[in-house]
Amino acid sequence: MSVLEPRDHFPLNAIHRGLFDCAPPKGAYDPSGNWELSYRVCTLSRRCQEVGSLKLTRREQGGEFSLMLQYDKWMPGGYKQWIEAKIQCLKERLPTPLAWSFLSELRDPKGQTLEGSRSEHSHEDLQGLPSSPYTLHWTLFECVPRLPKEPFDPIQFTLLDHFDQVKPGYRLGFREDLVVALGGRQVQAAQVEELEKGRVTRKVWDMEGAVATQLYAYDLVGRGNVPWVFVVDEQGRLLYVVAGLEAYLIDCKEEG
Amino acid sequence: MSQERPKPSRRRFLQMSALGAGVWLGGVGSVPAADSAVPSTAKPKRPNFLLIITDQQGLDTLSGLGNRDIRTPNMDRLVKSGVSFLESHSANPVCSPARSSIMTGWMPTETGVVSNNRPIHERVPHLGKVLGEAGYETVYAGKWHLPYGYPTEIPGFRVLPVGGGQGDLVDTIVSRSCEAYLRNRSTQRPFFLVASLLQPHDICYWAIRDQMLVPPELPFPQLKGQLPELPPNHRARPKAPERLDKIEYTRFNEEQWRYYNYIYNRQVEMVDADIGRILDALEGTGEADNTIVCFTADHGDGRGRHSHVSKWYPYDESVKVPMIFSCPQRLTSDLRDRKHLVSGIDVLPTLCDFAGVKSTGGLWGRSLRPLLEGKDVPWRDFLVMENHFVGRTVRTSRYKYVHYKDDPVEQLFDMQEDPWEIENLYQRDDLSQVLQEHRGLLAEWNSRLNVVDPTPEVGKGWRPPTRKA
Repeated sequence: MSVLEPRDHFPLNAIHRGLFDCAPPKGAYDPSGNWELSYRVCTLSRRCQEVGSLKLTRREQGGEFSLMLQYDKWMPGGYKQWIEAKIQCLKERLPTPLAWSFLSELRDPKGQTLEGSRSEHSHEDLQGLPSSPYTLHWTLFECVPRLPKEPFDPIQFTLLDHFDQVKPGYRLGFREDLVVALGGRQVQAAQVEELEKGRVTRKVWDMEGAVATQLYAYDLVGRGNVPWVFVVDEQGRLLYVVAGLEAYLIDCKEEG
Repeated sequence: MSQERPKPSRRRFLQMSALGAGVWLGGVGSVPAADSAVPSTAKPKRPNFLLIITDQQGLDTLSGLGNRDIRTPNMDRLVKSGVSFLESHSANPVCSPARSSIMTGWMPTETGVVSNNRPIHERVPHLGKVLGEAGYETVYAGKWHLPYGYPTEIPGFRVLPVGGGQGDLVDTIVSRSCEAYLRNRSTQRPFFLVASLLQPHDICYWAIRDQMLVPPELPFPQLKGQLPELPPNHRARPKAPERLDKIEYTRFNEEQWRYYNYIYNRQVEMVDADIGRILDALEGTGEADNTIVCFTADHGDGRGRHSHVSKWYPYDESVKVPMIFSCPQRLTSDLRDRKHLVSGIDVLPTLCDFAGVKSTGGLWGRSLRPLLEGKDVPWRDFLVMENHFVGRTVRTSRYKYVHYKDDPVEQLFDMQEDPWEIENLYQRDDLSQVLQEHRGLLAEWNSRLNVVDPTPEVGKGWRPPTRKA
């Protein structure tokens, strides 16, 4: 299998600028165990621009597990949106959420909650759970790394998007396996081309010192969202999620 | 269902315009000061207002209005519970100009906001000031773009900080902030809440950054059978003024176009979910029966029609936008109004009318209240939209006429026979009288505008804050 440059691959091309100087974590990792992972939340309209952070913590509890979420989105002036949630799930291929609590609020530059900005929800607020399999937007971050690393019949389910929006008809499936050069340092190189009009030299950004890394990609399609692509490493560590202009990149400083 | 009404003469319309809408006939200097707004005592309890604005959403994107490629259950709630105007037009199909008209009731040439990133002329009051000084609690969440995209302060409003970025990241914060506001607010004063959501505006980047987002081969092969068909006017290039004619998006093959539209449809569904969250919160307050919800958009998107992406131009995909008013306790429900020509400039007069406040809007805006209450009133015969600085579009019940200053090529479309705007009829001898009439309407419209110099272009694009911010 040839080694791909991120910029030549869809959808890694959208985040390739965020992959410079950022080697993904290595070492043993069990997606079905206890883990804690942090991500950079990025917007891709201009470059891969970091606009927030996401921290996920998984804890095994018998036939269930809990997933804790801390998400903050930065705003001008030092304000932020803060979300925290705790989700209790059945340990299944597609984890069924049994219970959850969710808090969203705006915080000022001192970290104080802005008056009237807090919104709290729980599973009890959701009227009429779907009869078909269902899971939450964020539990997919836990689910995908445990899926087979080869083609399988897509999982069909209803997505409870952002905890409260019921969106039926989703399909989560295997996309591809690929080897990508990751963790390199960004350098500027000269690219020389012989054209009819003569020799043309262009400056291009290149990567130096990247390591070929085996990856597996999965995609999610359904009404109510642009398609999502999840990218997982050999150990089952979720490295990247790309959904249109929204992306989550594993924090290179974190070890799983 | 459509409302059929006797067609008033144009003279009668002008009389009604001048007398019925609390309009202003003087220069800009005589705009009523916001503090002169007088709350009415006619209603014991003034309604709250929830103004929902989406960005880049064409009128024909709601499943409740017949689109089979999109599922919008929450917008459809408004369709079902309210009045949907199917001849609803942006005053100028670009973000800032259109928004200036929605917020002030004036045409963009009168607000000074003739293109993006400009502030509203200081003499023109906007809804936040007008309703705020009339005793409303005025709250703004989301995109403003007059001139700045996501300012933390807007005179006349309490601003809920939501940051910026693209719609996929910011709209959830907007809807959560609105939800929190509605749940936690004091009930002492009526409220005017603006939820200004960004989707489906993200679609702009599928055209701007097509090499990144729209590869030549469909990136999700499983979608092959799900991509929407291209419209019948996809390749139509009717003869057009030069400025309009030179705009053509040529970088997509057919499948890329269809994928582009697929993405656009999903983005409409994304914003529908945010609208649902806000409507749910409103219903949870117990105030829904006394809250008039207005849902509209600043402009549409090309979506491959006439080989266009984006907006600016006078074709329907760019200028026609949702305009739905809902409040079942006060207004007609489940009505699709196919008859009345309405515009973003009608929003302020309508809200002022319901609030019992004298409208500070311009000459051409009308209160939609009688239509929303099922009353039979004379209505305007034509509307004008602005395009590309120098372009003007006249819409009558049957025709659309387009004129760009100093360009000999005009456009005339028969919107009944040719709703996809494929054949330009402006050189047809048998329609020369129609053409002349529309030229006359435009001259009349222009003669009664109070044009101001464009305000300075100062708003810069939003830049994501850094971790240090």
